[in-house]
Amino acid sequence: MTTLRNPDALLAAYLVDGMDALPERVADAVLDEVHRTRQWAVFGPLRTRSTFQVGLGAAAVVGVLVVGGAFFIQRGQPSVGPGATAVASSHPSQPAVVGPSATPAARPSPSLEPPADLQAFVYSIYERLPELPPVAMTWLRNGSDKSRVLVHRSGAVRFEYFASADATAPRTYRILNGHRLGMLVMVGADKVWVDQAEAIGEDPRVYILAETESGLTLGGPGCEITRDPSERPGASQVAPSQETGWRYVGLEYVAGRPAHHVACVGDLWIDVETGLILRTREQVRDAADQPIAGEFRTAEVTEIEFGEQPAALFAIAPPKGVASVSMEEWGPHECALNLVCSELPPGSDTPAIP
Amino acid sequence: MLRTIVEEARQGDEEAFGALVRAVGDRCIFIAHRILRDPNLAEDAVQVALVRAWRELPALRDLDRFEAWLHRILVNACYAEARRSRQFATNVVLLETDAPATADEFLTVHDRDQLDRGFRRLPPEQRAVLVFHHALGLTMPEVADHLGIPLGTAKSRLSYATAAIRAALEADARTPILDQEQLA
Repeated sequence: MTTLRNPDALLAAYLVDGMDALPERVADAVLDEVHRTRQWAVFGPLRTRSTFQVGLGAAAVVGVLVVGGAFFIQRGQPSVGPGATAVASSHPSQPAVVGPSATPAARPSPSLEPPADLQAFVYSIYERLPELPPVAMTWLRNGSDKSRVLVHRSGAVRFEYFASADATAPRTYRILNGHRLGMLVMVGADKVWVDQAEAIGEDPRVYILAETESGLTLGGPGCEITRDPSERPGASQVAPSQETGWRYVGLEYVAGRPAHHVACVGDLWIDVETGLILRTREQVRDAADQPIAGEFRTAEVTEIEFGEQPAALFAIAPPKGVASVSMEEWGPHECALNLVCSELPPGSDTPAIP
Repeated sequence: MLRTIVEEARQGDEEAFGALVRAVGDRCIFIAHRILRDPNLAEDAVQVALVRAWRELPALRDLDRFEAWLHRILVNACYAEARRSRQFATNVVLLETDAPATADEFLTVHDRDQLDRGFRRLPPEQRAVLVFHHALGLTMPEVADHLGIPLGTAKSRLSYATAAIRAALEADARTPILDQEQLA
């Protein structure tokens, strides 16, 4: 009879064998992809203004911007107006509130025609955000998760988060003003205030993309946005197929505004005039990463009104009666909530907030 | 040194990230190949993990925890690769029998075959615990930390995995008797 030896020792010996050097071609492939991939921007410590990436949480949507130059909508085309012909949205929105001053862009009137260079148009979403004028808009994710975005004329942005779609006062909020970040957040049942100087290095308005893209994975294969290879001499050329992923679906209305409906891995409805994303839609996928028929994740602007916003809403200061905590104290809570820093596998292993 | 490179990479320095890839890449492929037991899947997992690490590096708050943070990303990439691959559940192809013997000849080809069968039947989460504990030599608290799971979960997975491996070896131990009886 064969004697059973120590299983642990056998296992350790078994695990000795295997690859122990990363092939050079894999390292090269990683670095090629890195060159085409923006880092995420995060609200938190240790980000400095010197960072050149913008990275949004929404790297997804525009994946990674910075196309060779700035591309804008065609100029000299018929302007947006009530007489414009538009296809009715296939996804009816809630009644929109569109203010009388809903013509914000300083740029020449945009065209309702499909963009001549669709890829450039999609990629320009991010670059146009710093031009966004004062506005207030309400978002609904998956029909129930309500948030609101307010933009001040200075460029400061306030994100408000509501407990329910019916709630009229925000439960928590986040303010980006200059390079400062202030947040009213929940720790257990308590509200606390967290703020930090030098927390952001970009125009606060670009973070609208991260907040509104709703975590969709729209920057999937074929939808990536690549940097101009000329930015770094010697850099690998990007396969042309990677720049041709977006297709034009049609002109539709969201929240009363004309939007170009484009699709790749998911769908985007891009405001013709401002480049704001007014709606996103992505098919839900199962554990095997296969799309589930008929199930979508959506996010949609339900109300949008351009106009001045009160400066007091953008002050980086704790509300009365709310205690402040340091970013260091808040960090673990944010990690646990967002899984951004902890990278935990899905399931029951998510740690409890201490 | 590594801390400096991580910090530079976090600030968007691609060259620093390249140096980081060179510094940690071997360790990553070591882990991924042992979890997945397939070189192609392992390479894919490492590539996905490293690109994701680059993208999410700004979210890393404690630079000294880079390795554990990266390992979490890597094992998640391994899990995803495993689940994406139809081979994973059914692949019982043995390792090459003409592979070099282990250093001390402690492990016979037959041992390796039996271990391989047992190991490949394990879910990737249990494989990861075995790899981090037995191949990397981490303590169980360290394993839990690197995998981003509670210590109790890590111990539980180790227990199940070890029992499964032991069962495979015990089956192996019984087999020669049957063979001899059949021959008799």
